[in-house]
Amino acid sequence: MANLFVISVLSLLIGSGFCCDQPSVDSSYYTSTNLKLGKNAAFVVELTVKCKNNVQDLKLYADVNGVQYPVTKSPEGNNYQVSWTAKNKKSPAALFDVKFFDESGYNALKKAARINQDANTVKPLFSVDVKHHGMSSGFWVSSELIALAAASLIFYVVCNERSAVIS
Amino acid sequence: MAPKSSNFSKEEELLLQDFGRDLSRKSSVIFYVHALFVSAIPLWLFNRIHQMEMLDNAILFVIGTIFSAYFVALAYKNNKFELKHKIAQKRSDGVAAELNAKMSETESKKISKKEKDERILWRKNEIAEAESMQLAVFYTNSLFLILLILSSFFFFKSYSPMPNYIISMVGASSITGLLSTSSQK
Repeated sequence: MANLFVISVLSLLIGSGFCCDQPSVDSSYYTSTNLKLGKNAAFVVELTVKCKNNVQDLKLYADVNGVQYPVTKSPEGNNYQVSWTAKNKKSPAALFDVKFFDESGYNALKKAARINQDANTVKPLFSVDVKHHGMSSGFWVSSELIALAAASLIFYVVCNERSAVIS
Repeated sequence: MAPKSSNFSKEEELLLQDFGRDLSRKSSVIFYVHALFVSAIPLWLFNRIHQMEMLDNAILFVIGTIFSAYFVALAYKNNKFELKHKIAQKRSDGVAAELNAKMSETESKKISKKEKDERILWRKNEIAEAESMQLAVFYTNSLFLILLILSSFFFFKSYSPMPNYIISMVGASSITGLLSTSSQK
């Protein structure tokens, strides 16, 4: 009986220490849009997570379209970052719903995958929307060429004017 | 060799002042302000596109701008001198017609031919001065900027920003100044 009591108290303590209660999330993201920089699209999401029960050192996992990625934490504070790449053809312009799971959520997700259960039944800790505008190689004429063309046109006009005066 | 004579009449001195290579104070100020402004434009290019920090490269930028401004102002001066004569010749008939039209018949009879010619000359000089300055500034600026764009973004594109800035600014301003020393006969 005493053992059961100790185990329950310990579980409560441990559980409350590692479960984030009512997280508030501050997030920002970057997605690559320039095809000239690389054929794969790169995504980076940075976030700050504050739990109501002041849990530190959360271990988080991100789920993007059914693929899980580990989330790294900065040594100080509650700053987290996750990044991934995808082939450009597989990442057109879209709104990505990036779900974040704590350790228990991640285990539940893995279990659901093993027993062929729908992954949407596992509730994430929180989710972040990432808007990807798609990748493009930009305008087919470079900006310095346009600047040179404009400068050449002006120079041609002024040369004509000068020639008319000098002749 | 005949000694230099400083015994010019007032009219001759005025003519020298108007048609000589030396600039009036006002013209000098205008030219140097324009030259500084045009030489400062590339700073924005190199800061935003080549990512050169303004404070880190402040000394280089100041020296480069002053060096370029000197040669661009020299080009203004030379181009203006060359153009002024040609413009004065071209506008001669038009100015004479304008002044004759402005003067009434009685007024025209009152003033002597010499005074009329002086007025025409003065007006011709005024127009030629303004037009030659504007055309010289326009021409020199466009030449300088096109040389700068070519050297900085095409010929020396692969150079790191600092040598790119030095070569582009020195090259563009020097070539602009050099080309202004040529004269057409």
